[in-house]
Amino acid sequence: MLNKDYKTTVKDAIAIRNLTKRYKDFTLDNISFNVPKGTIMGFVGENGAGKTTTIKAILNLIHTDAGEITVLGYDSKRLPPEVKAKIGVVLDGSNIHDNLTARDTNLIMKNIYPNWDESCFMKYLNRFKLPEKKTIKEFSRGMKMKLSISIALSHNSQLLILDEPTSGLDPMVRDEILDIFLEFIQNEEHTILLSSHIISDIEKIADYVTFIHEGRIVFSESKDNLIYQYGLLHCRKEEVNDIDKAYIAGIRESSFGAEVMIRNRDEFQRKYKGYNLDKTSLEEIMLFISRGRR
Amino acid sequence: MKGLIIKDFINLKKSLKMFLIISVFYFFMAINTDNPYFFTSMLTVLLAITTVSLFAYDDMAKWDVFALTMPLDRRKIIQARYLTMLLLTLSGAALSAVLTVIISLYLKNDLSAEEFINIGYGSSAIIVILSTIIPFVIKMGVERARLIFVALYIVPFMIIMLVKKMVEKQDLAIPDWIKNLAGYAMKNLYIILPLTVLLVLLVSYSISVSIYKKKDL
Repeated sequence: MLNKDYKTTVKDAIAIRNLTKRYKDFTLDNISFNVPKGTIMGFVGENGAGKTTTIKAILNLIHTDAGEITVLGYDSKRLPPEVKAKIGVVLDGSNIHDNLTARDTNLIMKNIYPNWDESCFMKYLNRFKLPEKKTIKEFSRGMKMKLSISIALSHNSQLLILDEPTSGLDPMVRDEILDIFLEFIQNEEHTILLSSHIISDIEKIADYVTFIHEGRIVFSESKDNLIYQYGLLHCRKEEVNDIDKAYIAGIRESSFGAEVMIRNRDEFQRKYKGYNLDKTSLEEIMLFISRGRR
Repeated sequence: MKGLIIKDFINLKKSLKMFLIISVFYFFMAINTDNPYFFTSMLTVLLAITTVSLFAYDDMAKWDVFALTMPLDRRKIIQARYLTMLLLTLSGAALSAVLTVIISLYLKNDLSAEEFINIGYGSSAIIVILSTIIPFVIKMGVERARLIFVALYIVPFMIIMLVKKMVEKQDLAIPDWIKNLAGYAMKNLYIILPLTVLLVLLVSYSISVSIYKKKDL
């Protein structure tokens, strides 16, 4: 486990320390990671790994069993309303009543957010070609997502917390949405926490990646570091036994031999001079860790 | 919080239109019956009871999870819902009163204060009923709370009917103190009723807030 002793500083838009939440059939187990201000943190893991639970804990939607979370420097359980107003949230689904229209949504939000920017909201509706007067019932999934994102971006948010904003969308719409996030992050004060199980999206825009697996954090690292620290080794099955287990993140065997995902690549190469490591990708690292044998 | 109440009323837009149609329909029924004011307070009850549908709408949209990410706390969300409930009851009472006046003008009847007092009773009753059911709705959702609703109101009603029947059958005399108490209560109803309504409302509200604060969403 990496990054257990993160120091909480105000440099982080979100800091989670030792968060635990127990359900009957699932436990979010003592997780810690930070989202540095001014960056995009990709929060990845398979469905059911604990992404949404973590996000709900950050947003104080659930009661936790242990741990502390700070958001924009404040205890997440006692966020002042003016700080909450600076957080834009997109949850999995539109979460707006089917019989409302985009125009109704504007009226409602105008009376909830003290910092609501109506012209900005209208600008996004135009840009996303969302009809003002159609009810949300008639919206496609992509349109609903775009509406949620328009809301999240229309109250001068400093922090976006997005739970699977691109899932179930076609590649064109996904690309359009990712571009919006990249625009948002141009401002140094802006931060995004983006959960997804679509690793290619994360690979495209994230600066940091936190990988959660079965309720535990496997790593939380800068994306570039990560790709550099891991390497893929092709070898014969018998050779696997010669390798120190500490370096092995996962093993995949086939009739031709074995593929081993090696962590601490530099150290490994100093110790085992004869082996050549191939470059790897985020997706492969995660697949080896979650599906490979150890 | 204003935004939440606006949201509730926009969601009820269709139902509110229905109520205007029902009112017109009712008007024609009323002018053709012997007791034109009998159902006026029913309108209040019908309108107020839509508060329960608002919970169902929010559940369906998974609205609460989203609302709690906004600059609102849990107490505000409950406050808004109680205010909507009171606003709906008041509009229902106002609608009933207007209808009563129109009917009496149309039928050239003399208006008595009693008609309006009856509207007041109806509104008080529905506020008490909703105040008992809302905490259950928040705790267990609209569907399951409906059963509780039935149990809360039908069962005591049936027990009272049964007791009444037994009393009649065995020719038991009602003790004097009960008669006196009832008489006293009836005489001072104009003060006892509003106080009771207010008390029930406050207790219900604080129970709802504490249930909602503990809820995982």
